[in-house]
Amino acid sequence: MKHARNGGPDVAFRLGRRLIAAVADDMSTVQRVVAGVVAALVGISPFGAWNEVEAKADPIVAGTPVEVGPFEVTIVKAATADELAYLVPAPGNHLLAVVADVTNTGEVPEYTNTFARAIPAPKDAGIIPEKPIEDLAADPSAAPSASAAPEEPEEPEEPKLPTATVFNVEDGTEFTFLNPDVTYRVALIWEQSGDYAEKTVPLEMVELEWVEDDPQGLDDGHWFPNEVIFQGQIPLNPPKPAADAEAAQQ
Amino acid sequence: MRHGRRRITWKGTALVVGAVAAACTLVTYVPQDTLIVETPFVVEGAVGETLDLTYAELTVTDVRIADTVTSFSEAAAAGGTFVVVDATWRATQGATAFSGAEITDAEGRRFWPTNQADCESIVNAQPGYSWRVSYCFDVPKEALAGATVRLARGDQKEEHAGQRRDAVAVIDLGISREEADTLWEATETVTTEPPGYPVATTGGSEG
Repeated sequence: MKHARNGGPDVAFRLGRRLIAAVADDMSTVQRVVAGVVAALVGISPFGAWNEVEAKADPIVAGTPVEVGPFEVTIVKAATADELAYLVPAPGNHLLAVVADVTNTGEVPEYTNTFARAIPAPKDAGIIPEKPIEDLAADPSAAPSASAAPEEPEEPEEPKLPTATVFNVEDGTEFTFLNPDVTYRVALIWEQSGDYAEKTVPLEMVELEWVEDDPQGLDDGHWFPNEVIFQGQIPLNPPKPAADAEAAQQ
Repeated sequence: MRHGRRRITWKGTALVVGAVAAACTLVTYVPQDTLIVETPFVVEGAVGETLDLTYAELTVTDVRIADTVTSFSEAAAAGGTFVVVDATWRATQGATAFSGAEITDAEGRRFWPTNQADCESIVNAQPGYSWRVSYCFDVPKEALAGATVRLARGDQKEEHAGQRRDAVAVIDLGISREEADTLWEATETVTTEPPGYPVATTGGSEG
């Protein structure tokens, strides 16, 4: 007596086997091996077999120049200060300055802000995040509206870290662009929490990619900060009571 | 007289096809951008010479080299060396913002002026008055010899987009290779002044 069973998968299996048998029966051994390899390669394609392997960032070594977009950058050191020029941190915080030598290797001036975006604020280093626009617009004295419907608690977004303020260490002034082939010693400055007690600062540099045509952003011809290409731990000097950017140079 | 449909001849067909092919060739291979005048009208000159740009008269009165430029409230140190270009604008048609200031070196590299220490990158002037301004360009040693300064009312950003179909002045700074070496070694400090009437005039006059 035959047992009742679900014939769907069985039919599919038998059909597949017949199909393979019909094709493979007329093949030589070599042809079968090649066909098997091709089938295996096709089979693993949906699982990311051909995805580009994520490039590992090269190390940042203080004193060693690296190329980032149109800039040659040599990280000199990292230091903290109570205040630098007109920058004064909130009570309990201090300023973190990453000192670097930078040369614009291109043929046209580049904005200092472009350079600053190549060295984003160190992550997990107590950098004080930017205040969201809505926080600045909100009236702190206003009471919450009683008619407002209770909303689902939103997942907190990762706070956006600010772009560095760039100072010319030589004269302690802020400047806006870098002329070609002129080397400047600059300080990239962020406000850092006073609680940060590590001896090093984790620093990253991102690749700057030239965008010739930007149909979406309508901003043709600009440098776009892309993937992290250099990263490393920069030793952090003890805080100094210096009052100007010159101290960061010492 | 014969009426009715005209015959399509091989000769006529060839004529039409040839005309279409010639038109396509013209459209494809004649560069269209040369048919549109977008380039500025360049007025060349030298230091001390007054140039007529139709909207203004311009005189580069002096060229100085400095390691540091200082003003009443600020000092700026050069990464290379400062080329301080003193100029006098006289707007002739109306109140004008002179936004273009750029040095080009012999290799074609471009350098913009700093806004530090009373140096300016943009200057506004009322018509009929001479208005003095100092532009301070931080340049490397190799940029000194053969450098020219390009001044105009349109700015030089976005590949000189603001200067299309407009007059610009290109002035040879007159720095030879031998002079460049000497100038580079000098450690001068130049004290700049904010834009204003030229020293020789009392203001309000023709200048």
